[in-house]
This record gives sequence, structure tokens and C-alpha cells, in this order.
Amino acid sequence: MLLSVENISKSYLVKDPETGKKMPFWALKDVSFELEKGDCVALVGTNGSGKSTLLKIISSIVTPTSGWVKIQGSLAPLLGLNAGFHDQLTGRENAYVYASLIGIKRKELRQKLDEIVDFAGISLFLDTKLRSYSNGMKTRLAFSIVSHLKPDILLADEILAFGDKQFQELCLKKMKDLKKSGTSIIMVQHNEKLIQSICNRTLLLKNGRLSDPDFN
Amino acid sequence: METLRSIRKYSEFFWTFTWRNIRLQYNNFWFGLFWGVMQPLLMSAIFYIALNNSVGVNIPQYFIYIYSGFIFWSVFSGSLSQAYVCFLQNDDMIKQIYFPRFLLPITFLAGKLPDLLIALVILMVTLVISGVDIQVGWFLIYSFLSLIQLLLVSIGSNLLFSVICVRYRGFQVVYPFMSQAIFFTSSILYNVSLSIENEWIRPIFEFNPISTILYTFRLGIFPEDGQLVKVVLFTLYAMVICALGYIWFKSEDKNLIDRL
Repeated sequence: MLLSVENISKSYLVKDPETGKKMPFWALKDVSFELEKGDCVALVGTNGSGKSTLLKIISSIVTPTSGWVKIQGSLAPLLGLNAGFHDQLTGRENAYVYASLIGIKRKELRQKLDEIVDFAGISLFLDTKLRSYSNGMKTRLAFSIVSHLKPDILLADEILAFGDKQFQELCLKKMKDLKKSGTSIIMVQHNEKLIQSICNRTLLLKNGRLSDPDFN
Repeated sequence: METLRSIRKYSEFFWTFTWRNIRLQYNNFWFGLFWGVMQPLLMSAIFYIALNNSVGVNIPQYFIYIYSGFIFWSVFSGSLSQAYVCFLQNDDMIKQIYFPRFLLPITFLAGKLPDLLIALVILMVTLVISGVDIQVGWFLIYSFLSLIQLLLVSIGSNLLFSVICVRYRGFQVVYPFMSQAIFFTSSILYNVSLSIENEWIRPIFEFNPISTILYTFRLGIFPEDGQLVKVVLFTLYAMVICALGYIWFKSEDKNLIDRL
């Protein structure tokens, strides 16, 4: 088993508007599931149902109020895609900074840089400062770096919503390739057609609780 | 243990971010280095001109005295002034990618170390030129000890104030005052042990972390001015500051993201 999430709960203190007392608000409550090698899980749920919080807890950015996450293997987050990028650095410099953040060795990146830059389609702008990149270009660069990592687990938070259609298709193809080579994926996704084409399981979050996990 | 393991795993991250900080602050690595070396020199020159005939009268080799002070001060305050706001400034990244967060405030200290080494070389040249009679062995031992103290104190303060600043945003307004308070209550410009007569206040000034570091370092240049016992005490003191900063940081680290 690659990943097991056991009874994760996360509460925030909110002030009750009527009584003025601080009350715990449960963003996640008793969420448990397991992920096997090669699984691709779609995480669905309405806004505010706890999808992003769950991904952040899995990638240990946020500490859960209670519960455990056990991970065996490497994990690559695709949460906010441009996080860690800085406008005053060039594309190449940002690539190295970003890689170091998600744990890719400099040597490894050097070997794959051409491939990564090609995939992102930014070869011409590699030594230009990021401030003149479009949002799409930044997203493509980040996705390209992470997806060339071949992680054991990939967490993707609505990333396919970025970029143009052409790049979305490229992303989808890349994710399918990753899945074929053994990467397990958890993605936040609302597009049912897309879910059916790549995911083998769906997790539905409702008000922080996992609803019937095999509803489809 | 977990801390040590993550240091090894993320060592490339550490150095890449050290480089990134320098790159972002100065846009040009060499200018950054140049300015890092020039700033304490210029400050020492200004204060030497201003104070040599008043405060400086009782201190032999006053320029060397304050220059040694500024070398350590510029590393300490230069790194702290960037580190204490680092989580607020990089909140985007911290909310979305996991990495051992305690490394980030420390990268700012690492970025100042090249300046420090060059400045120490300049100081040694100054020592030779002005003909101060130093015993090289003791000088090196005390320099080494004071560097260790500086690293410990700096790591502790960077960690401590980086999380304090997340919890209490108002700290950003207090910081400039705090920085100046530390500066003027330390032995950078004058010898606190000799100048402060009040017996209650003197120990407070003497235990200003910067004073303790300078006490140790200057003992290598002016060996008759102090006792070895105090150096040992001050080294332990620096360890306590470092441990305190780390423990405080760890207790805040758990909920850091919820506060950003």
C-alpha cells in the first residue's frame, strides 16, 4: 500500500456570529482511505467540502487535528502551480529553485532540463525573467518539471483547469503515461468525462466527510 | 533525529534558497558580496570619526574595536531582518509546497557567511597594519568560538522571530526598534562592562547576545580584557538561545499554515 489516510480530522476555530463564542468548525471529519500503486483517484465535492485541505494534509503542509497519514514513496504536489516561482528570476533559475523545493537533485534536473523545457514549450524564454511570462507559460513550466519527476504519488489540485485546450490534452496524456508507469494520482476534478477517461476510483467529500466512496 | 534527516535530504534546497535570497536581494551576486563587505567598513569609519575623541578615548585601537563589532552585527542583523518576515513574504509557497520550514529562516544567515569571512580577512589585515600584538593561536581559537556563538544566536533568533512575526503581525512595526535597541545595548561601540555603572542594568547589557559574542571575539585581540570562564558561560548561553528558538519554532510550526 502506497498511501493510507487514517481518520483524518481538521478543525478550525470560528466565532459564532450569534453567541460570539468560539466554536470548532470541522473542515474534515474522520476521513480514511487507501491508495494502491497505479490507482488514479478523482476527488470530487462542492466548494468548501475540504478537497484542498485534504491534499494539503496528505502532503504534510497542514497538520491534521487528529489522524494519521502514512506514505511509502515519493510524493509530488501540484497544488498551487506557480507557488515558489519568483518573477525576478529567469525561467531556468526558477526551474532549479522549484526543483529543489520538491526534492529533485540539481544533477537530475540538468539532465532533463531540455526535455522539460521542450514539453512546456518555453525554450525561447528560458533565460528571460519570469515577469514577462504569461500565466499559461508559468503553469506549463511547473507542470512540466513535476511530471518529469516520475513520483510515486502525484497530487493535483484542479490543475487541468489551467492552460489552453492543447496543453490540457498534453497534460492528460502525460498523466496517463505516469499512471501507466506506476504513479498513483489523486486529482481534484469535476469534469466527468475526464474522470472516466483516467480515474478508476472516485472519492466524494461532503461537508468534510467522505460519502459513499464507491458511488459510481 | 527527524530534523537531521531532513537537513540531509533538503541540503540542496538549503543552498539553492541561500543563493536565491542573495540573487533576489541584490539582483547581482558580486554586488551583494561587495556591499556586504563595504557596509560594516563604512559604518565603522563613520562611528570612528564621530566617537573616537569621546567614547574612543578609553579604548585602545578604537577602529578595530568597532569594526569587529560591526562585522558581527551586520551578519546578525542583516540575516535577521530578512528572516523575521520570510514566512509572510513567501506565504504563497509555504501554503502550497511542503518542505522543512525551519530551514528557510536559516538560509538568510547562510547568505551572510561569505561577507563575514571576507570581513574577517580584512580585519586581520588591519590588525597587521596597525601593529597590534596578537597571539595567533588564541586569536584563532576565540574567533572560532565567537563564530560558533554567532551561528547559534543567529539561528535561534531567526527561528524565533520568524514565527513570532506570523503570530503577531504587529511585530513588523516593533522590529526596527528592537533591532536598534539590541544595537545600542551591546558592546559594538563601547564597552558595556566599563561604561554602565548601575549594577542592575550592567548584567542586562552584558548578556545582550551581541555583547557576549563580541566579548569572546575581542578576547582574541585584547587578551587581558576578560576571563575564560565567561567565554564558556557565554557559549552555553548561545546554545540556550539556539535551543529556545528551535523549540519555540517547533511548537508554532504545527499550526503555522493555519495562521498565514
